[in-house]
Amino acid sequence: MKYVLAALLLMTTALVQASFMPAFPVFGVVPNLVLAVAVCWTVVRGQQEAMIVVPIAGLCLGLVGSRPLGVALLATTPVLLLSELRALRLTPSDFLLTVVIVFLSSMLYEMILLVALRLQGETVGWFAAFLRVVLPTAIVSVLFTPPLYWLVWSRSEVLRRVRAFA
Amino acid sequence: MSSRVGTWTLGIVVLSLALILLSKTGVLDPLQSGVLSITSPVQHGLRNAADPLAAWLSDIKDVGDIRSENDQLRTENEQLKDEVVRLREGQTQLQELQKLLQIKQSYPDEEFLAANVLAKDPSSLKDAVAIDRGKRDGLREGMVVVTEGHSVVGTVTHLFDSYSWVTLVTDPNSAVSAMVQESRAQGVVTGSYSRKLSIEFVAQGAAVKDGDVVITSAIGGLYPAGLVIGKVTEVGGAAQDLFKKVTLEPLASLSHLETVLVLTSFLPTNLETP
Repeated sequence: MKYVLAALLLMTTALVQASFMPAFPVFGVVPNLVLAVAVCWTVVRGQQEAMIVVPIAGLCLGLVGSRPLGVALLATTPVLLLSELRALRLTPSDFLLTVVIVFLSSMLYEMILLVALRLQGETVGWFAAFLRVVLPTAIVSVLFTPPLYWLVWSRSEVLRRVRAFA
Repeated sequence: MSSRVGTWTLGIVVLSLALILLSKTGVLDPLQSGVLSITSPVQHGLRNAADPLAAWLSDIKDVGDIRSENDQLRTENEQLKDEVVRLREGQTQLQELQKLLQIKQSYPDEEFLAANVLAKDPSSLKDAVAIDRGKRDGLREGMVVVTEGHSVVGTVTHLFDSYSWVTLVTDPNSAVSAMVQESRAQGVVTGSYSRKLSIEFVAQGAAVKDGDVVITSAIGGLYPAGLVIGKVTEVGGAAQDLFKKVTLEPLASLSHLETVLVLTSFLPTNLETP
């Protein structure tokens, strides 16, 4: 049930990211909402669920994108490694940790995509791409994180209540 | 890091690489095409919902400039009407001369296939859109895509049976042989991560000014000659530079594409049958 809910949420978010958000670019880029939702799910629901939800996020992004299917999946894997930060309790709140992981994982996601583009034979302007896309996307994704965190947290509460009731 | 997470991550990496390889062989094309097919009504609805809202926000932002732009457009309209009359007269004379000399026209039978834009690549690193035409409709990789006003949109880069991805002219990897219509100065129009166009390799001595129209030049054989790309917005660069720094803006609104035309009668040179 929870993974079906996660898959539906992630696919809907991927469609919004691909079709709705390009009309409203911030700093010339579109936020990586799917990645932000995956990170929120990881922090709110824990690492065990993240191990399923994060790959689903990668597949959703791959299915609505123009690149080979596995590229986005590969680019989301850093979230799994960064989820280890939760156990270290480095930040006073889960929300702050979410923001940090969204920022880092968004940067790594775009960098992996850049490497993939280069390996596919495309010319990559590393510095320009970093300044124009990688960094702005990470910042904009962080700006969109609070409502997404609230959305995942509130759905998580519903799931908890349903389980308690059952 | 726990060994469980490490092993799982490694497994996902291996799965990703396997999917990339399978995608390259085309095995996963039906899956990707199927998802595009199923989600296209939702994507279309989302795009339709976003466009008026984006236009409204843009209007609010630009309200100060609209009045002066309106005056400018009115003057420009008058000039263009005058130019149209003169061009019509010239065209009539040209047709008469062509009849007399029996000159074959460059593209007498241009054929277009209309397509709806379904989706945009979700990453800001690529500027590509999906359209609802594919192999079944006779599309081939490299075919040129234009707007309804016949200005350049991009080229078909990835084909499925009933859908395809079009890489836009503003993509950082796009390069189009071009010339400035007024001065005939040659160059290459390239995209960028900021979605701005620039024309490279324009000789320092070439006469290029703001407002000049840039068109495709057919050099290289990837585009037919004479399609409008954009308008020069800035000319810069130091006198000692080898080439001018020229930026342009696309004539078509590439961020709000709804319907495009695929030029099916023109095949890039490397695709043409002998």
